[in-house]
Amino acid sequence: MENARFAYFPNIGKIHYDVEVMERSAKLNADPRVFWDLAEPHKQRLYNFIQKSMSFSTESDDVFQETLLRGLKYFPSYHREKSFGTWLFAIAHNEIRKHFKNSRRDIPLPLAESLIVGNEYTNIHLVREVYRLAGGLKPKHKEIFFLFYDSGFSIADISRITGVREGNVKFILNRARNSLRERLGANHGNP
Amino acid sequence: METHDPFDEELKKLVRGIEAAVPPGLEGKVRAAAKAPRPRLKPRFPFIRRRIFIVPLSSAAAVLLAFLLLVPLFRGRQAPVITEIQTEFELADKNIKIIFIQKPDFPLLMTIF
Repeated sequence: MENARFAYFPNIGKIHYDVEVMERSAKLNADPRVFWDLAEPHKQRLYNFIQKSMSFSTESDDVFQETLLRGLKYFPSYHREKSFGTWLFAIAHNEIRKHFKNSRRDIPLPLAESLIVGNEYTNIHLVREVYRLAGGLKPKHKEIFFLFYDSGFSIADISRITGVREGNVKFILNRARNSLRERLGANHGNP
Repeated sequence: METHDPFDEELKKLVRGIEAAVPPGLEGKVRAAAKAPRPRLKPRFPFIRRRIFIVPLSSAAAVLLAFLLLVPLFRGRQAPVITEIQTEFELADKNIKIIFIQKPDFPLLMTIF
């Protein structure tokens, strides 16, 4: 008994608990209904993000569809402690990037009047001007612009979604903001 | 934004002034596509994609073949290598003939008749 050694693992209970949680989470994630339930509040925002990042291209519906299918496929690997929205938008970002990589030619559609949802105080001219500037941005910069101004993500979340460092995200947004401020000039703020 | 620029709020309103609704049929289409089993592509060349495999390899083979065929044509006939230099002196009045033979490894051979 003199040579007996005792090992003490203070975190063993936590490890067992973590494994159980992960297994339960994987089982739950295997259910596509859970995916659709989680995706429901993000669908509209996601669709708008894809449409706007691709300048209302004819292929944006395909990218939206592919994003959801890919999300469903990799849903079992999604970790519950992370934001579902950020995870789904990261998939969308990859799909958009893949689209721009595969097809050099993009057919942007003109801004349809039917898409303008603002009230009578919304200055349509300013809206058009903003979208004209966004249309001239590089694809990645355009995504960052819309993730911030349209989808409402924070800079940290945008960094997580796009893989661009926070400092660079701030720089890109600042440049776009300054160009718009310059372009809209004295008109901005006047309905 | 972290900067709390009032212009940002205004820009957000302008950007959100355009909104595209998800087409009603699209979601159903996605759900149907999710349920349908995806066709598996036959692995024609395991480990290597076909487009990567055929195009560069065939072009590399064509370049190599052209190189092998054209180089001997352009090379032309090579000048023969000098293997020996022979210098002769003849002293007719003394009936002597001196022959110097120079080989590539430069040992000087002298033969006197």
